[in-house]
Amino acid sequence: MEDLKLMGLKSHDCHVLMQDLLLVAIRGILPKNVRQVITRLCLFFNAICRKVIDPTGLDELENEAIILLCQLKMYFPPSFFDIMVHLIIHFVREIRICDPVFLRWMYPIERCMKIFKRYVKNPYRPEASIVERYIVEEAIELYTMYMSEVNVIGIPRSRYEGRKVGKGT
Amino acid sequence: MMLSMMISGPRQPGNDIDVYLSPLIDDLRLLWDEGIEVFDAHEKANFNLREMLFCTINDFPAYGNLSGDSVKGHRACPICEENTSYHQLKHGRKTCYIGHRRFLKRNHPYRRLKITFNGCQEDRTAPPPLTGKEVYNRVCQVDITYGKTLKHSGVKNIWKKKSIFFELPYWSKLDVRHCIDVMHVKKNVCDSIIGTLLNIKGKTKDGINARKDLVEMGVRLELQPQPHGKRTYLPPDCHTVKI
Repeated sequence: MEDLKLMGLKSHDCHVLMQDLLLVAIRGILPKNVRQVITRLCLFFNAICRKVIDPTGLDELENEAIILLCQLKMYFPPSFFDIMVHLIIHFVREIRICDPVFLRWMYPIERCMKIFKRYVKNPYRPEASIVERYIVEEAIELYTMYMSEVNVIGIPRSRYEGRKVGKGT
Repeated sequence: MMLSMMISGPRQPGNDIDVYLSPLIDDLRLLWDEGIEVFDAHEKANFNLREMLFCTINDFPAYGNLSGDSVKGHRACPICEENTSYHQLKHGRKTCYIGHRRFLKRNHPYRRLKITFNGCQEDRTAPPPLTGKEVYNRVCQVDITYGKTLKHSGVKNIWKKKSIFFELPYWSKLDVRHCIDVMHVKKNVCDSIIGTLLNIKGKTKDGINARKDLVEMGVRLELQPQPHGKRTYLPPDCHTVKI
């Protein structure tokens, strides 16, 4: 942080930056047209990551993505446009055919990977330690079903259970 | 169904991932063709469970390994495939994928602008997305030997292999076979935006080569590098942050 640079961002950091912080951070520092484009990009990401998507608004969203990329082309250098930027165009098509994005993204799997990473006790053989501990845990979880007097941790319960029944989220 | 799999070895399997996937594919075929008997605790009865693979989620390099498509070079986009519009940057030595104007509606005013974009009007239409049938027709001729082989200099093909998923009878009828992962795209876009805005060394997409490329393309000539004696002066672009 010494020379005021952002380094080593994790993917979830980028998620929060893109959805919430960047919008606020660029207020009043860039020329108006550039600022608007970046804001629209953030809002576009916000819109496709929503849990509830209106299917009638998808066409509008697709147009928005295309216009956005054209406007980015006006202000950013050409080397900015690698294949990842191009893929933004195809998001809305996949939402239309498959599902909302939150059912298909990688965040839960990345979180699971963190748990697996904690399993490594012998750094020389990381895979073997993961396998061993995973099997042990599965076995213990199975055997606890047959022990009636044990209080199992199991799957944690939601804190909001009962309070928010039938209200979504 | 949740299945964890561990592939050992110091290197990634790359295109040989099909070998590791074949047991999974066998199970999936069984589940689709015949199904298995499963006990339903609510109804207190057995029923026949069938299952299909809906789509796979992976990051972009893995997309190339699973589908056998090439995800780099001039035909990198797996959905536009042959119609990917690319531009080779001479000074930056990169391929960039511009020409998004072709996706616009026919009468959009941006199609007629010249100087703002690349110096010419755009009259191409958007490429139709690739369907599963077309992909199957392209890959069914490709033969590949897995494992370490001598690289033979054959014909260059966009499709590297016939993916093992095509052994599933319904796979070529799906429209989206592999999803583009939003997380990875978002991270990379965010990285390049923040790197360019804050001018982080090594992350920024702007620089002397990018400016030279702009001159080559003939757009935004006011940004071209100006030599001042030994040094070169880069005029500030509109995305340079003023503090």
